[in-house]
Amino acid sequence: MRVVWMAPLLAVSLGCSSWQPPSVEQFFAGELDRAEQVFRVRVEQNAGDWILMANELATCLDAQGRYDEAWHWYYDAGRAMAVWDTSFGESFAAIAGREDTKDYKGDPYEQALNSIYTGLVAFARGEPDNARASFKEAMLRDADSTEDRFKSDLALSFYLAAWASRAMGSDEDAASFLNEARKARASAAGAGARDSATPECFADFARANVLIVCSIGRGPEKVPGGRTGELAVFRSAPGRAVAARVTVDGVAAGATETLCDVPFQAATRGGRVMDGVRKGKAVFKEVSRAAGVVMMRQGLLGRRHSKKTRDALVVAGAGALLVSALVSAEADVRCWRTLPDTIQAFAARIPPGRRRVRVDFVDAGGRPLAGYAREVEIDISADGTLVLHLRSLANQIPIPASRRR
Amino acid sequence: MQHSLSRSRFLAVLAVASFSCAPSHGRVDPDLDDKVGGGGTESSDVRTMASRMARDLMGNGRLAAEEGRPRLYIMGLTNKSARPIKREMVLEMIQTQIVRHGGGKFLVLDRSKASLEAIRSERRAKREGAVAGKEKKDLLGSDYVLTGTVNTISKRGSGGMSSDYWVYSFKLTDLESSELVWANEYDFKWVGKKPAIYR
Repeated sequence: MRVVWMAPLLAVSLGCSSWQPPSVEQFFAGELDRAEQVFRVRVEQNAGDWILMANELATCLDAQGRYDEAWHWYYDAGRAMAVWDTSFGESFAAIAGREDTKDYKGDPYEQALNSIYTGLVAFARGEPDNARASFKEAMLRDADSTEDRFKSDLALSFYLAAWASRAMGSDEDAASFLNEARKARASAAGAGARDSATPECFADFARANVLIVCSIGRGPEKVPGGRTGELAVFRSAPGRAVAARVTVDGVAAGATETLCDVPFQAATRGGRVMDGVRKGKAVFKEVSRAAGVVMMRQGLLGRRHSKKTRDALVVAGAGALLVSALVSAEADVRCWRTLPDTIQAFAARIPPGRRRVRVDFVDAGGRPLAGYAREVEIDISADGTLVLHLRSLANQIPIPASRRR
Repeated sequence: MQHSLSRSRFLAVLAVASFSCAPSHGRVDPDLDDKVGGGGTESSDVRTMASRMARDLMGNGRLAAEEGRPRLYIMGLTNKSARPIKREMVLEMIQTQIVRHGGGKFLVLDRSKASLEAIRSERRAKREGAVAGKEKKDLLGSDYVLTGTVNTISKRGSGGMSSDYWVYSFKLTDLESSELVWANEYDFKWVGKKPAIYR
């Protein structure tokens, strides 16, 4: 009879298969129409990873220059990332069973980058105030990292907030954010983030009127680690592009510098409460399995016990093995996989007028990558500023005509 | 007895298993808490804010005492907060409330970029005789402009605690004298705690 009521538990357990990520290869290959369809299908399925798929869809639309659509997806995903209300069933299932049964909300670095991209798209839509609000939100989200020394080390958020403040006509706020950007960058570089602690684009801020932000390479992915997959570890395969060179009207203008090292941000999110829970579950799983095996062995093969005791040992051993099988210690490895490896920036004073900007993405040897270059015509006004965001994707498509504040 | 106990256990397990994934989809009152949670501007806030601002503005004695119908347009809502917002929703709802319930007290001018482009295009076509028009009018100037700002104070505490205080402020400025004729605000506060499964 016990089998009857244990059957649904087994069924539930078997039904909770691990998360199957959609392919992001088409996105990085620059086949954005196909990638968009993949993400749209997954968004429609709404299978606990809606926020993740909405962010990946938004990245895809953003890369196509469809800024209004991208903004709404980034915005909606960003709002949903801040909804923490969970049912008892969801909490219980995530703690007792597979962690990836809970709704995906993202790690602090993913939440902060959602805000960064919401802001960059707001810039493209001519809304510097919404852009600045987004960058300020990124600061708050980065501060959710559990380790104090890595709180507020996302220099990019402060630097972009400085540009947005200036676009809003608030030079005082801009100076304050730039000062915070310097501190954050020095802190991150001191803790091991790639590239300079004192980027030239900070020094160039006051005189620069054009900022080119580049999302370069391929961001880290979470994979299971530890003896039973109880750890979520990051694996990086950053891709071929590592930096970008900027040319204006055929004249070399300079190179980008890293302001956000995404694998560093991901790896320094700090020890999470759920990491401890999973480690505990892994120990419990191993202990209950070992106890089950011993009891089953004694029950089936032991000759020193009475038949009644042996039967009880078999039942108890089977129960322990079943509990061990039902408890999942596997880490939640869902992560935003269309993020870049680094986000870099180049700032310069470019004379007003219509200009042709070319961005060449280069490999580690400094060689330009064929098929990655982008050319954009921009209109620079005498008193305005302009922020342009580009991605290092293969098979680049033309992006819409210039944006200006 | 044992049989009934097993059956009840079976049903209990089924109930627990189905509890967390029961599909539910239905219409709800947008003024009520939807129980989804959050920390930002909700539908009830937008509706209440729009209604309150429009009513308060229409009830302003200074404006009511003016000769003729004062003209105003809604310029925008500047976001000074630490959260992006969908400003069009708030502004369009306030505009709709004033137009619908203004009782003829105000003339609301549409100065949106899209509308101005359409107006200029249509006027040009009429004046060139490309299309017929009943009468030619002047574009109206405005007596007042309605503007707004959004601000937040966000705090983060230990154990996943957080709070966000939101203030939407609106003001009506006389476009001749710069006098601040009317002002009002709408505020609310969220407090939340990130559950352990997300920490």
